[in-house]
Amino acid sequence: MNVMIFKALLPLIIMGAGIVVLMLQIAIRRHHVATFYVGIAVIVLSLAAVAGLSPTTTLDATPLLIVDNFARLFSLLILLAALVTLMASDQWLRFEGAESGEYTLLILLATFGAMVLVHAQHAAAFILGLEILGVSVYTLIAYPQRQAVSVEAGLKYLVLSSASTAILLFGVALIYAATGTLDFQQMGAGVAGANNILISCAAILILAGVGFKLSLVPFHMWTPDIYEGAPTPVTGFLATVSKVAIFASLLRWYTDARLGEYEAVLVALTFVAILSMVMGNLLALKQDNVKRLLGYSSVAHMGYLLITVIIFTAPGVADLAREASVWYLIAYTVSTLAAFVALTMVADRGAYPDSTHREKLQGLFWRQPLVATLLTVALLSLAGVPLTAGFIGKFYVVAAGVDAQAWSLLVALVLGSAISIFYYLRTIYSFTGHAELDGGGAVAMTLMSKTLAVILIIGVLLLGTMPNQLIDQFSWIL
Amino acid sequence: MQLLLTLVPGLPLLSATLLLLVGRHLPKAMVTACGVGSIGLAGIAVALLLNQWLISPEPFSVTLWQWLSVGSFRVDIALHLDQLSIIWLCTITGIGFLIHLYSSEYMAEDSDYSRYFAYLNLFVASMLVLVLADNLLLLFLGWEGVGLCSYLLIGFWYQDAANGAAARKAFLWTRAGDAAMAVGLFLLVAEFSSLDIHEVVAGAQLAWVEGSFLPNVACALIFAGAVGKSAQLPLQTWLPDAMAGPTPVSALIHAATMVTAGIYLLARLNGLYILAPAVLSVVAMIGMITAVVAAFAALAQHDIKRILAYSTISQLGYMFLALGVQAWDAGILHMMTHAFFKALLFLAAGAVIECLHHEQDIRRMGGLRSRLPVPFWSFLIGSAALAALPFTAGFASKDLILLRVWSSGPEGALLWSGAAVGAFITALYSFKLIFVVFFGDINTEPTRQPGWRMAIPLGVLAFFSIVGGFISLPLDSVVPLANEEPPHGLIAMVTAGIPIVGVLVAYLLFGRQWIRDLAGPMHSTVGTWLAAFWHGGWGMDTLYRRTLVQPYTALARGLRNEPIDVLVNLIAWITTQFHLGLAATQNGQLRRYIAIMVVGLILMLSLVDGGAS
Repeated sequence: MNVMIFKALLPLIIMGAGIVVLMLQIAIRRHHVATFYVGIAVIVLSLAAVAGLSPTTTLDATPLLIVDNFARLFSLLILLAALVTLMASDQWLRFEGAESGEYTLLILLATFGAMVLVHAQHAAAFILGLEILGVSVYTLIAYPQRQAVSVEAGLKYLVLSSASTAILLFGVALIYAATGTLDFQQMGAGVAGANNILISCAAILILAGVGFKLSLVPFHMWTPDIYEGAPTPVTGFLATVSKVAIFASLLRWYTDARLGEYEAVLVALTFVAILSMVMGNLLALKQDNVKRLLGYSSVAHMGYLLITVIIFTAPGVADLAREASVWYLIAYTVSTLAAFVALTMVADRGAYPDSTHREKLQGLFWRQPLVATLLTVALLSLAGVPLTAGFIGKFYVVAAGVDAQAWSLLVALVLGSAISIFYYLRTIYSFTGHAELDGGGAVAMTLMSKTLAVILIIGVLLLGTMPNQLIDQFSWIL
Repeated sequence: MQLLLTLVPGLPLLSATLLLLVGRHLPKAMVTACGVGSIGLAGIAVALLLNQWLISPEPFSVTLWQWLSVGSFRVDIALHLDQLSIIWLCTITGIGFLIHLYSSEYMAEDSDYSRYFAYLNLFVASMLVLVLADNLLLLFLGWEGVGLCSYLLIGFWYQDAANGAAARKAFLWTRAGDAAMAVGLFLLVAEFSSLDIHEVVAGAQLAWVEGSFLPNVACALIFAGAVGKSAQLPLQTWLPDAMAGPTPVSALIHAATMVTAGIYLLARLNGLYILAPAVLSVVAMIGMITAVVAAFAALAQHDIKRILAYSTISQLGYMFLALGVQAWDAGILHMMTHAFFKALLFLAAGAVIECLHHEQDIRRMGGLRSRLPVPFWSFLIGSAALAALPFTAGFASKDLILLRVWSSGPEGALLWSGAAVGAFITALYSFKLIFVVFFGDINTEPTRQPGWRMAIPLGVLAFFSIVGGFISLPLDSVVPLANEEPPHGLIAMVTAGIPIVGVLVAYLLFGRQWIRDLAGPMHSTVGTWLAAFWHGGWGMDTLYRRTLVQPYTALARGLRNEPIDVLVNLIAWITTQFHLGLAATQNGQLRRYIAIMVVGLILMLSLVDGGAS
């Protein structure tokens, strides 16, 4: 391993070493504050390592891992999301009196898995990353062991996720049988002379397996139950880090291995996307628990995102499609994270897990104006209202879709967005209502939570008003 | 230069944001400093820009940032300064500052002081964005921002339901025009696939044949937006009701912002309008009719602010008349002089109202000449300018418009006669106001005198209402200028003489007690009916209420439980049913979830077809 490869892999190495350090720290002495700062330090160091990488050309660091702009950008996004999650969790952990040691450890492990995923250029690395991420998330969901609903959610996710991984592995086996390789790019090269039926089946199995993690219809059934049952910061983590990493990795696999050249795969994906957009929004329509609502809406958002994958093979659209998916992922991550951070902050003592019910949010604007503003901005962004991050993302997707002339997908997108306006606005509207609760149980916000809320509000709005400037700020990395 | 230009809309916007966020917690002096100071600093920035401009008159653009860049479609947030926008900048910030200063005394006792200044700043900022916008999207943003702020300010005292209704009325009527305008702008963007105003106009001149279908449609649609915003027939009814807001707001709406946006839009797109002569003659005709109709309506009003409101509609009619006959420079000059004297009149009216304990009915005023000298002299100068008496700013611009109209072509004489009738009535009602309010017997004793923060703006505006007409506006690079000199001779003398006759008639009718007694019999049935008819704004409000509002509400009420309603609700019902049906699948049971996954997977695999590749 020469110096260049070492430097390129440094973010991953720091994460791995950091996890060990944190484990030692917990073994020596359990201490909430120390754990918190070690966790934050590991992530910040890794972030610095990502940022410190010069914008090199693509580097095959190992046969399994590739370091390129794509991986760097998503590492950055994942690390930032993990940082926000840890900061938002702090208040929740103190509040619930939960043990913070293992929690922080699991978040770091899951983040590590997600980073492996976005670097993966080989099916083995993909599965490895997926499972590091997955196993950590099962535990995180069931972290409040005394909450029956959380344990149930964790168990459900474990069982269903295992089933989906089995499907995925079967698909990998088939594609290995057809092409004789597990490397994404060699798969693409070997595709030409291989058995079409076998590869089509393999691709569909893989997409089904990944589709479960992304909660695409018809593999979406778990979403609301797990979103509701998991601790709110963990739900935010699951909705952003987990989905973004898996989607980014899927995008790489799909394009490198040229899976989009099979008619059946495209047709299957189109059906999945349309169903996700329409059904996700329909399911969210009358949902009263905001966490469940966001679960269903994430189904729809993944459907919108899938458009960018489907049109990838349309002539001359590839660049715009890639740009659109990156933008949408950034906008989705920031907005969703903002929403869940806000929901973490409204949690009432003892009311868990019902505190995110719409009735409990009545009059939030008068009780907790900052949190209400954050949640409003986040929901408007998810709805795709102009001047928020979500609008830019959606605009990109529509522009790419129009270029590719994917009209049926766009019709579903417009239909779904129209439906979604109803439930987002209905939720926001309830914040202005008369407060039925005295808000006595609300947590007093720490300075860190307030700062986090302000940063997220500004972030969502800046991404919507001056997106290119903001990205230019990061261009020295890319 | 670039930084200065950015500061012009930036400072008011910053101050508005600050006041909206933390204004409630700031001391009043701080709010005043922010609210008035930001506009003052913006005014200084404009003055510095103007200074630079006089040295080197080069138009330039500042690209602040790029908002969107998706594929080949890009939207810049960019400001553009040229001869047209600098005139508006001076008017907006100059008069805007005076109105802000005046407000700091007028609104001093209001409990929502900071909210008032936040809206006022936002109003000015939106208008500045509108006139500086380099592309149609930013222009539209400013346009809608102005609409929003007018809604917020007209309904500022929202505790009174009537004010809320007036605000909604203003919002909805201007929205009716905006809808058409948005379609017009979409048409331009679709045709030229660019949002840049200069590119669009240049593209139109290359691609479109004069008088053909597309330019006519586009110009007509955009003109509809201008009609709504600038309160022209038939969308004018919102402006008299907009008096519900605080008086300085009326001054701002009528002088510096809002209503002149329509004039700006047409002047900015003059290259486009030249391609649509048919639309231009409609513009001239609507302007002329509005000028006359609104003048008659003003004559019959008793509320001092409503008189001024109708006079604004009438004067805007003159501006559109000028634009319609392609006397671009005359229309723009009248916009500026009108801004001076209308702001003066409104602020003076505000002073009278304030000093008389919120009395607005001129029939209960009188003899205020010696009691309120500052408002009296302000009013006298303002009315003289409004009536376009010689040696005032109003004369310089209105006389120019009338003469240009006369020589504009075959329709010139017709348009001129209408405009001349309007000018006569204008002189009549503006001096009726003077004679009734300031002469005669005292009816209500004033309780206080205006302070310095009210008096200074009045003085400055009075000064400009006299000399404002001598400011020569260099417009050669933005609008085509007429080559020939305006006509001389008899027609020029008649045009100049009409207002003087109007003032004399006003004196005879309203200034002399004995004639007023003599005119008693004139209050016959026809006379009273006509007065009532004009008082109601030519029955337009009634007409709209009868033909639009009442049928609409009746229809809505009738249809509330009717089958058609069911059809509409069907969409919502079907959506809900789908939701319920789908939600029923979410029973929380693992085996159900797995089963659906497997079925879905099998369906997907069944798509695989050996023949396809």
